[in-house]
Amino acid sequence: MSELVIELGEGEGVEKVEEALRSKPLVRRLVIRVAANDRVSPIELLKGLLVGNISRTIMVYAKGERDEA
Amino acid sequence: MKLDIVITSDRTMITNHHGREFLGFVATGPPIGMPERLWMWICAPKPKVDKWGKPVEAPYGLRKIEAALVNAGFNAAIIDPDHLGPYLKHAKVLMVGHHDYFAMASPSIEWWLMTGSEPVNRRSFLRLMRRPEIREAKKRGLKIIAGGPAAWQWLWNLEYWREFGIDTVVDGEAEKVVAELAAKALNGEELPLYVYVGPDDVPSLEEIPEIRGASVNGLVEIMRGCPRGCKFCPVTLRPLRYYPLDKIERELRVNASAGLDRCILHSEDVLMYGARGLEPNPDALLKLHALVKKYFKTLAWSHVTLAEVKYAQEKYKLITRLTEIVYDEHQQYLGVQIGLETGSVNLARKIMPAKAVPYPIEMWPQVVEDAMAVLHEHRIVPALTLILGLPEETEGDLVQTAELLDRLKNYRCLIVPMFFVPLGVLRDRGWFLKEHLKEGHVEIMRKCLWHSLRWAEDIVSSFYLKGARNAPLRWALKLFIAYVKKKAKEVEKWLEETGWEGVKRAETESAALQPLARVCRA
Repeated sequence: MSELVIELGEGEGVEKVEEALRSKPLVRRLVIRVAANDRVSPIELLKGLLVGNISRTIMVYAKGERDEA
Repeated sequence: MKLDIVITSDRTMITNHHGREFLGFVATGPPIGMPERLWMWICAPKPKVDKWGKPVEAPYGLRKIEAALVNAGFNAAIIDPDHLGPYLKHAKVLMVGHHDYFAMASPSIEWWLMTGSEPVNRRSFLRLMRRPEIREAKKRGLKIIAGGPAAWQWLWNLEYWREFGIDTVVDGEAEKVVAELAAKALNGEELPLYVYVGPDDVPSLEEIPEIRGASVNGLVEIMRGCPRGCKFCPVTLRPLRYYPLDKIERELRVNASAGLDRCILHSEDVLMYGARGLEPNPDALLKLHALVKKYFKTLAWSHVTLAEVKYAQEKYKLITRLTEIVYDEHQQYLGVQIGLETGSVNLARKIMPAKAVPYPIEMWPQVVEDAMAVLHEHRIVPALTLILGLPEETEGDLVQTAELLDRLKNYRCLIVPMFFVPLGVLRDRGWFLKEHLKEGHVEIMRKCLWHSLRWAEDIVSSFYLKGARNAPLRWALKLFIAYVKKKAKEVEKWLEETGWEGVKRAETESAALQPLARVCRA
């Protein structure tokens, strides 16, 4: 199954993911790693993409987060 | 006993609803006309637990997760929410699941929008997550993983995601991914924040584990997926998988050996079990029902479709043949939930073009009426659901729905209008909120209310809660019905005097509604 891994650095937004998917529309599994200081801001950043997704497996990770607990 | 992984939910989920699954719907509303404690007792009494605090009956979805973990060698179990304390002193992972964490699904959302008061399922879940034993365990490093059919709601409730310290949200069929997540959590490895399990990654039949403890009211799945492709429904996105009879029987045995005498067959359309395309398979269905009655006194269906009811009866006399198997000295009626969705052919063509198959969609209102006649004749009591506020809905569509409701007057059923919730293919569409309600919607809701009140007393007294054993519940529900009738008359009078637009102008949004309105507009 085709998998795509995308890393979002500080200041990069969901547009980078959308652009990558436009160039590889057949991707079925998407792993997104987002630079973040906490475990919720990546979801805030990607919310529109995640809410609208129905067809692909998506996994979101936070890079460099500080544990809030 | 110590556990590495504790699986739980709040009281509205960890309950058997007095053995009456339909009472679970009461948990989708706010407490109206009575104290919350009494409301909770009606819909969510404390269940029987064993000496370790494990509920005898637990939600089927949580049972699947428990089975997947135990089969993979993890020390995991479902624990009643009132017995979490001792386990959370040692557990490393807490898994929670829910049908409706934040009361954003139907019908919770419309009770909330219409009354301005938070439904008890949401209140109960928030209370659970704010318990000191969970907070303290979280401070010690407990990992919290949330999933279940309402996992999507976390995307709309990031403040709670942050407040409760949720580590991972899993949306979709989780049996294939849960063991890997558990291993990562226990080993201190990096966990994903969010996992959406797409259609290519759902478990195959062989990968779906069998439950190891009894499910609430003996619910067992007989298939997953649905071929009808309705745009508002997330189930239709998943591939179709029929459980073979021997797999179903092993789960029936688990429930029977726990002492349960009732069973609910779960499917988006029970009459589709073993179907070839959309052609029913009478042999498979007759065998399935005979098998269930071998183990249990009573049986219920979770869902069927109206087209399948009409077709199966017209072609195979199948409703008659199935009820001949089901009805005996223990059971004289059958309960089921059915999606009516709309009475408009135009709207049906746009959002659910295959809903009437094998009949043309132009026949949808006739299919509904004919199927309801079959159900009424066979003492099958449906709770019908309508969707208000579907994308592209017009005033004309609402008029057609209202006309169809008039034609259903004499059929024994409850009819529940639900506001459109963006799910399935329509997941990215806007929410339907109270401010979008038009006169046509109000008229439909009025018709549904009076239809349901008319039939509710009959259903409660003659079918659902017969006998001396059910007298307290019957009394409480009759009192509630009388209260709703009184309130409905007051609201009708107000509407007659002011009109819906006048009511909207006069009304200021209540404080309790503001969190919901903010979330849905975000």
